[in-house]
Amino acid sequence: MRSIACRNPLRLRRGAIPSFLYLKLTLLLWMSVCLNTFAGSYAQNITISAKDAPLDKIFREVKKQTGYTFIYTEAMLRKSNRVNLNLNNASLQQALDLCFRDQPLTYTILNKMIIVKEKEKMVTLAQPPLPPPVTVTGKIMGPGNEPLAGASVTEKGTNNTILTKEDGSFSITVNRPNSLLVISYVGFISREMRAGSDVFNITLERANVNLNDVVVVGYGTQKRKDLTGSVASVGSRDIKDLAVTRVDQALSGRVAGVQVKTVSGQPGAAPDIRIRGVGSISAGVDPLYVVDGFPTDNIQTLNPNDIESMDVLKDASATAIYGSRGSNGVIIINTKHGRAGKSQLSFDTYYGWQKVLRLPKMMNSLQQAQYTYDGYKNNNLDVGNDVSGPGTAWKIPVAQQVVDVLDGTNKIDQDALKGILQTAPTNEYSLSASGGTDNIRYMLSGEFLDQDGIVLNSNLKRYSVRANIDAKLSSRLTVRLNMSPSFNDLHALPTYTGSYAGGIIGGALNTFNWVPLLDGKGNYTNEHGRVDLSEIDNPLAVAREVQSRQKTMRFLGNASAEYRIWDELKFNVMIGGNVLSVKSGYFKPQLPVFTSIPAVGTDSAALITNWVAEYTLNYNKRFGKHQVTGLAGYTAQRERGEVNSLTSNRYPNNLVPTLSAVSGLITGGSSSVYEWSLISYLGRINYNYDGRYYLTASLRSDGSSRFGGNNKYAMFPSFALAWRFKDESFMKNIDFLTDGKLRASYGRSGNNNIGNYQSFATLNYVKYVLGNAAIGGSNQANLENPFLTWEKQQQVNIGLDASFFNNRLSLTVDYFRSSNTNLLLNVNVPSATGFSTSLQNIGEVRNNGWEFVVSTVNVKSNKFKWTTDFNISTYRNKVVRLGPQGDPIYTANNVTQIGQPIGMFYGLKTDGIFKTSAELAKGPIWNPGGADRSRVGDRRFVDVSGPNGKPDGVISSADYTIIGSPYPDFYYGMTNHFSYASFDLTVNLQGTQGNKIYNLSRNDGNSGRGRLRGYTFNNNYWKSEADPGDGKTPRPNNAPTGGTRSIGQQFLDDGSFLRINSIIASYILPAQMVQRWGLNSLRFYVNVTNPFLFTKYTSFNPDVNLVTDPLSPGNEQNAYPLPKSLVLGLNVGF
Amino acid sequence: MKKIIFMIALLPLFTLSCSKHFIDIKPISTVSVDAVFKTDKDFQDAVIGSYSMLRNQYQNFWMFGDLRSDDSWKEVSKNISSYYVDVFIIDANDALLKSTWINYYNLIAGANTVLAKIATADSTVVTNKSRDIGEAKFLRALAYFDLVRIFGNVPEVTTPITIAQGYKAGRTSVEKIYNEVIIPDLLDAQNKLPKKYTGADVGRATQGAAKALLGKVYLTRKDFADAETKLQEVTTLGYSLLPNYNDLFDYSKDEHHSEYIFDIEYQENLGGLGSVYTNSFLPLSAPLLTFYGIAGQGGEENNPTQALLAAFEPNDKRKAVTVDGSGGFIDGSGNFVKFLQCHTITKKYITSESVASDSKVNWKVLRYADVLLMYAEALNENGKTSDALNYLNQIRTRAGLPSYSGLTQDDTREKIYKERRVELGMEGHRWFDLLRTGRAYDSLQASGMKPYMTVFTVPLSEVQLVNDPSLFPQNSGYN
Repeated sequence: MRSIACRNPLRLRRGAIPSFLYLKLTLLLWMSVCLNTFAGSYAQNITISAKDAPLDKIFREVKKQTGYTFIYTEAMLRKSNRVNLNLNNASLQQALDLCFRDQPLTYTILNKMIIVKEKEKMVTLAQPPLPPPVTVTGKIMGPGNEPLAGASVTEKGTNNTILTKEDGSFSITVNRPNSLLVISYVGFISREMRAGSDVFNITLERANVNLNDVVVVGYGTQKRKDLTGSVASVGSRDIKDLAVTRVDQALSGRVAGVQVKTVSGQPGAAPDIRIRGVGSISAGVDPLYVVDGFPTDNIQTLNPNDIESMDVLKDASATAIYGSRGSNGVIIINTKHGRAGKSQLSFDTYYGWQKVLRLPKMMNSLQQAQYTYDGYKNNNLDVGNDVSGPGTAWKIPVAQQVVDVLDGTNKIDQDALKGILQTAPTNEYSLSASGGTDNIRYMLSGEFLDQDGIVLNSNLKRYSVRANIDAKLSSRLTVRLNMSPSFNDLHALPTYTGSYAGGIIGGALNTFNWVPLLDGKGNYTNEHGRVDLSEIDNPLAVAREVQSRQKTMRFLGNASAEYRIWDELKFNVMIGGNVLSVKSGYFKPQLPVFTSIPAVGTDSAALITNWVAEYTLNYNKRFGKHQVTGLAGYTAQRERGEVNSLTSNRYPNNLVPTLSAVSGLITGGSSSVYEWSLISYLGRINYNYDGRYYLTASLRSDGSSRFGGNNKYAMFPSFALAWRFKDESFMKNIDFLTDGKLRASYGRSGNNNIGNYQSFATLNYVKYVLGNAAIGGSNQANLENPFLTWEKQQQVNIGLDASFFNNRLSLTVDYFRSSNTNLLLNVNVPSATGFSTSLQNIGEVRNNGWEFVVSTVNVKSNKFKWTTDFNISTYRNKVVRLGPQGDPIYTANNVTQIGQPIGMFYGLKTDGIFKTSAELAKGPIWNPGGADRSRVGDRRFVDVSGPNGKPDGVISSADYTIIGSPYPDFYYGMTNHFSYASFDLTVNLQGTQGNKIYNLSRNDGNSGRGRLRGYTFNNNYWKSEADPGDGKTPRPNNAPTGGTRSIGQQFLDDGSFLRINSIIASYILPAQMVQRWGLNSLRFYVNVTNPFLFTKYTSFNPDVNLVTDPLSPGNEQNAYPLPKSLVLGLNVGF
Repeated sequence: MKKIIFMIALLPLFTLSCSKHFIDIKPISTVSVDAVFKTDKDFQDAVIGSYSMLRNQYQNFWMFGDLRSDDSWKEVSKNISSYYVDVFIIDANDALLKSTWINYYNLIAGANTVLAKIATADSTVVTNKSRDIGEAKFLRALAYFDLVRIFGNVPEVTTPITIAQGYKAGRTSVEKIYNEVIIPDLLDAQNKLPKKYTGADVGRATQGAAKALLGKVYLTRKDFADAETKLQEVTTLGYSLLPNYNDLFDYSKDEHHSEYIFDIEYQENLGGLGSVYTNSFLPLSAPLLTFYGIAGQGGEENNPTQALLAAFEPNDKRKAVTVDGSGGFIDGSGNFVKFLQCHTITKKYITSESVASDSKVNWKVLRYADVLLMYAEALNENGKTSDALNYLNQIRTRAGLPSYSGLTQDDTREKIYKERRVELGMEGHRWFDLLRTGRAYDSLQASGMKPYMTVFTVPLSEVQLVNDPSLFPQNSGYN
C-alpha cells in the first residue's frame, strides 16, 4: 500500500462498498468537484517517455502533469503489466488509452479523478461467437466542406480510437458491424454514427463560441483566434427556441457593447440597437446590417430559423471596411447553407400565449374621485372661494360624476387597460430541407408566423421562403444563390400621435375607472361626453373600429460566383437585389364615439429597389511561418425609393373603407422619388507570423451621391495589431493559461445617413388659398451646402482575450475611445438670411467605454454541463463641439450641451413639498405674486440660479438644470446554459443600472390635476399642515400652482432594471424511440419569455425610447407594453 | 463555362466605366432653386410661397394682438408659450418668438428673391411682373410692420443675403425700417396692385389693402396728416360696412364681402389649409363641439376677459358674438350645459368643421370698419372732430348704439379708442392699439407688464449668433 491510494481516504475497492454508499460517495465527489472547479491549474497535455515502467509510476507522472488523481488498489497494480510509452503533448485520454491498452484494467474519469477498475469479466465469458471485425472508412468535414484533420473516431464503449488524416479521411476497424462510432473534434458537436456502411462522409457542426470558430468579418471570414478587431458572435444555437419575431431580438443581453432595447411590444416591432454608445446627433444611430453580403437597413422579414450566425463588428478596425456606413457598428447576418449528405428535413413549430408583462399601478375609482375632488377644493381655496357647501355648488364646481363615485351612487370600478389588453396567441411553423452532394448543396425553408399582440386587434403574419443553393460548377468555379421572398401582414395600432386623444394605450391609461368602456347595452361609451375634463377617444373603440394595416412584400437575394484563379487567389462576383414593397391602409369610421368626425382613410404605398454589385479578389498564402491574406474589391450600390400616399375624409358612410367611395374627392396626397448611390473601393491585408504576431490593415474609399459637390469622396483606413502571447516560448509553461492575446486597433469609419439631397438648395412645394381654393407655390427649402460630407468616426480599441484552465474560463476585455467629428448639425444661422438653420458638418462627440465578457464552463462531465456567459459594458458619452457658438440644443425634456452626454434630462430639481406655511415662507417660490404662485402643499423646487446667474429665491426657467441622465452606469447580460443528458436549460437575462426615464405618460395623469387617472403612489398626498401625507407628494389642484407641471425631476423615474429575458427548457427524445416512429429526432421545448422584471419604474416597460432622435433619449409615453409569454415548441427531424 | 467566366470578368468593367456619373444624382421630386425664376409661373409660385408663410405665422397672431392685451387670458398651463405671453414671463428661448422671427424673415427672404430676380425679367415673358412686384412689396411691408411692432429694431434685409452677411446683419432702428422699407414698399405696391380680383385670384393683396395698411402705418407713427390722406383714399375704393355685424362671422357666407380688405386666407378640407382658430379658442367641452359640429378638441387658448365683457354698452349687437360670458351654452334640446373650466368664450371663430384644426375661418388683417375708425382717429387728431364723429357713428349705428355728437376732441379720442376695442375685439388689434396710444403699461401692469415690455424679447439665438451687442443687442430690460 505505498500507492497514492494509501494516502487517499477515498480508497475504493469495487464490490467492497455497498452500492448505495458508492452512490453517495459519487454524489459527494460530484459536489466537491462542482465547488472546486478552478482549484487546480494544470495543463491536460502530457509528455511522457517511459520504457518498461510500472503502471503506478506512469500514474504519478500523469498526476504531476495534469493534477488528476488516480484511485486504485494494490491488488489492481499487482495484476498490471509494465508500460512502454513515448508521448509528446498527448491528451490525457490518449495517454490513458495507451497505458491501459494492454492492461486487465480499465478506467473512468470522474472530473479530476481517474478511477481504475478491473475490466469486466462478463465480456470474456462464453458468448456466441463474435462477428468478424469490419473496416469502416470515411471522411470528416466541417462546415463548408473543409476537411477536419485530427478528429477522433472512437468505437463506442471501447478504447478503439483513431485520428483523421490531413484530408479528413479515416479508416477504423470495428469489432461489430453495428457498433456506434463517436466522432469528435474540438469546437464541434460530436456525432454518433452506426458503422452500418463502409464509407462515411460526415459533416460536423460547429459547437458553441470557441477560439477556433470562424467569425464573419466584412467581406470575409477569420478564425476567432486570428481576430485583431472587436467582433462578437451570436450563433444559431442562441437564436433557436427564442420564439422571437425578429432576429435582432436574439442579441438582447448577449453581446457586450451592444445595447438592445425592446422599446415596443407590438408584434414585429424593431428593438433599438446601439453599438458602443451614441456617435451621432442627427444622422441616425442604427447599425448597418449586412445580410448574406447585402448591406441593408431592414431585417424585419428574416426568418430567425434561417440564421446561421450574427456577427457584430464593434471597433473601427472591423467596421472601417464598411466605410461611410460603419460608424454605428455593423451586424453581419449569414443564413444557413446546405451540407453535403443525406437530406435533412425538419419541421419546427411553436405555440404560445402572451400577456402583458407589467402594469402601472393606477388609482381605483374611489381614490381617483377623492383626488379629483380635493383638486377642485384646492383650486377654489386658492382663488378664495367658499368650499363649505356641496362640491357641485362651488364656484368652480366638481363634476357630478366625481361626487357620484364618492357618495356611492356610481360603484363602477373598471380598469380600461384590462379592456384593451388580451392574452394573445403566437405561433410559428417552419419547414426546412437541406442536404446535397459535394457539388450541389441546398437549404430550403418556408415559414409561417402568426403573432397576435397583447393589445386588441394588433397582429403580425409573416410568410417567408428561402432557397440557398451552392453549386460547384467546376473544380475552379463555385456559384451560390441566396433567395428569400417574404410577405408581412401587420395590423398595427393606429399611429400614436403624442396626445392621449388618439392612442389606445394612453386612452386606456387615462380613462377613469368609473367610466366603463361599454355601456349596459354593449355600446361604446363616449368618453368625450363622460370624461368631460379631458377628451379621450374610447380606447376600445379605437382598437376595434380603426383599421391600420401594413403589408410588406420583400425579395432579398443575391447570386455570387467564386472563381479560383490559383489555389491562393480567388475572384468573387456578387450581384444582389432587394425589392421592398410596402402598402399601407388606414380607415377611421365616422362614429358617435369619435365625436362624429367624418370617416378618414389613407392609402399609401412605397416601392424601394436596391441593388448591389461587388467584385472581390481574395488571396491567401502561407510561406513557412508567414501567413498573408489579402482582399481587394470594388462595390457599387444604388437605391431608388418611390413613395406615395393619398388621403380623403369625404367618405359617404362607413361601409367602404377604400378611397373608391370618396368619388375622387381626395383631400390630400403626395408622391416622391428619391435615389442614392455609393461607389466604393476596398482593400485589406492580414498578416501573421507563426500565429503569434498579427497585423491587419484596411482601406476603403467611398464616393456617395449624398455628399456635396466639393466633397464627393472619402477615405476610411484602419490598422490593427495583435499578439498571441500564449504561444511565446516563455509562456509555454504557464499551464493554467490556455490562450492569450492582446489586440490594439485604430480605424476611421463614417455615417452617411445625412439625407439624400441635403447639399442642394431645393424647393419646397407649398400651397395657399386663393379664390377659396388651393393654389400651389414654392419656397426655397434650405441653404445650399456644397461642402456637406459624411460624419467621421475615429476609434481606438484595446482588447485582451484570454482563456484559462483548458478553456474552462475565458475572458475578453475591450476598451475603446471613439471620437465622432464632422457631425451633421442643423446649425443655427441668423434668421435674417431667411433660414434659421443650415445643415453643416460641425459637431463632435466622444465615447469611451469598457466591455467585459466572461465565459465559464462551470461543470463539465459526461452528462452534465453548465456554462455561463456574462457580459457587462459601460460607456461615457460627451459632447465636445456643437454649432459655431456652441449653443446647447434643447428638445422637450432634454438638453445637449458641450461637456455633457447627448440629451441629458433638463428641468427643475425637486426638493420635497412645502409642508407648512413656515416652509413656504422660506421659499423658493414659483412665479411670486402670480395666480399660480407656490402655496403650502405644493412642490418645492431647487433655486439653482436666477436671471443674474445667482439664486434669487424665485423658481423660473433660469433654474432649469441637468436633472438626470438617460444613460446607464453599466448594462449587462448573462446566459446560463445547463445540459444533462437530453435535457437542456438556458436562462438569459439582461439589465441596466443607473439610468433615469422621463415618464411623460405620468405627466398626463400625475400632474396633480386629477383630470386624468393618476398613479397610486400619489394617494398619500398633502392634505393639510396637520396631515401632510407622506411628506413628499404635493396636494392635488385642478388649476396647478407652484409650477408642478413644469419639466422637472418629479417626472423622472429610476430606469434601472433586471429582466429575465427567457428561460428555455428542452428535451430530446431518445433516438431509439423516435426512430420507431420513423423520425430522425424529436425535441420539445418550453420557453418562458420575460417571466420576471425587477424595476422601480412606474410604467409598463423600462426599455424606453419614445423617439429615435438621439437628442431626446430616455423619454417614454404610452408605448406599446411589453408582453411575457409561455411558448411550447417542437422540432422534428425526418 | 468559358463564356460564363468571360461574362463575369467583364461585368466589373461595365459598371466601372459609368462610375463617374454613378454618384451624381440630382433631386427628382424637387428641383434646385437655380432652375426656376424663368417663367411667369415661376414668379407667381414664389409669390404664393410668401403668402403661405403668412398662413403659418397668423395662426399665432392672436397671441400678440389679443392675449398679450387686457382683452384675453390663458389659464395656467405647463410649458405653453401662450400662457407666458399672457402673464408677461415669456423668455428669449421661447419657441413662439423664435418661430415668429423666422416666419417673417423667411417671407422677407422669399420676397427679396422675387424682387431681385424679377428686376431683370423680361415683362413680355413675365407678364404679371408689375403685380408680382406689388404683391412682394406688400407682403414684405406687412412682415416688417409686424416685426417692428413685435420686436422693435430688426435687421433690415431687402436683398438675398448669404450666411456670412447674415452674421453682419445688425438691428436697424424702427424709424429706418419704416422710412426705407415699409413706407416705400407700400407706396410702390399701391400703384402696382389692382383694385379688385375675380375668381381664382380673390384673396391677393389689392391696392386698397396697400393703402389701408399704409394708413395704419402712418397712424402708428402718429403721422396723422398722411394717415388722413391715405385712409381717405381707401374710402373712395368702394368698400362699405356690412349691414349686419354678425354677418362678418357667419362663415356660411363668402368672407370676401364689401367690408373685406385683406385677410389671411384659410379654407377647410383642402388637406391642411384650414386655420386653428375654431378649435383653439373653444373650451374643452365635448358637448359644445358636438353641438357646433366641430371636430377635435377645444384648446381653451384665447378666453375673453371680464374687462372686455364689461367694455360693451348695453344692447351692443356686437357683444354676443365677441364675448359670451354665460359660462355655458344652450344645447339643441334647450338645456343649459355649463363649461367646467372657462367662463367666457368668443364666438367670432365658430363654424362647423370636419377635420380638427382645419377651419375655413380667415384671419381679418384689414377690414373697412378698422379703416373707418382709423380715419376717424386721424381726422380727430387733425382737429376735424365732427368729421371724425361721422365716421365713428357709422360704426355705432350698425352696432345698434346711439350716435355721438358734440364731443370734444379728447372725448372723441377716448370714444374712438373704446369703439375700436369693442368693434375689433378678439381680432388681433388691442395690444397694438394700446401700444400705439401709449396705454399698454397702464392697462397691463397689474398683469405683470413692466415698462420695457412694449416690445417682446428678441430670440436669444439671434442675439447669440451675431454675438455683438453693438450690432445686435437684446431689447433693453430683457438683458
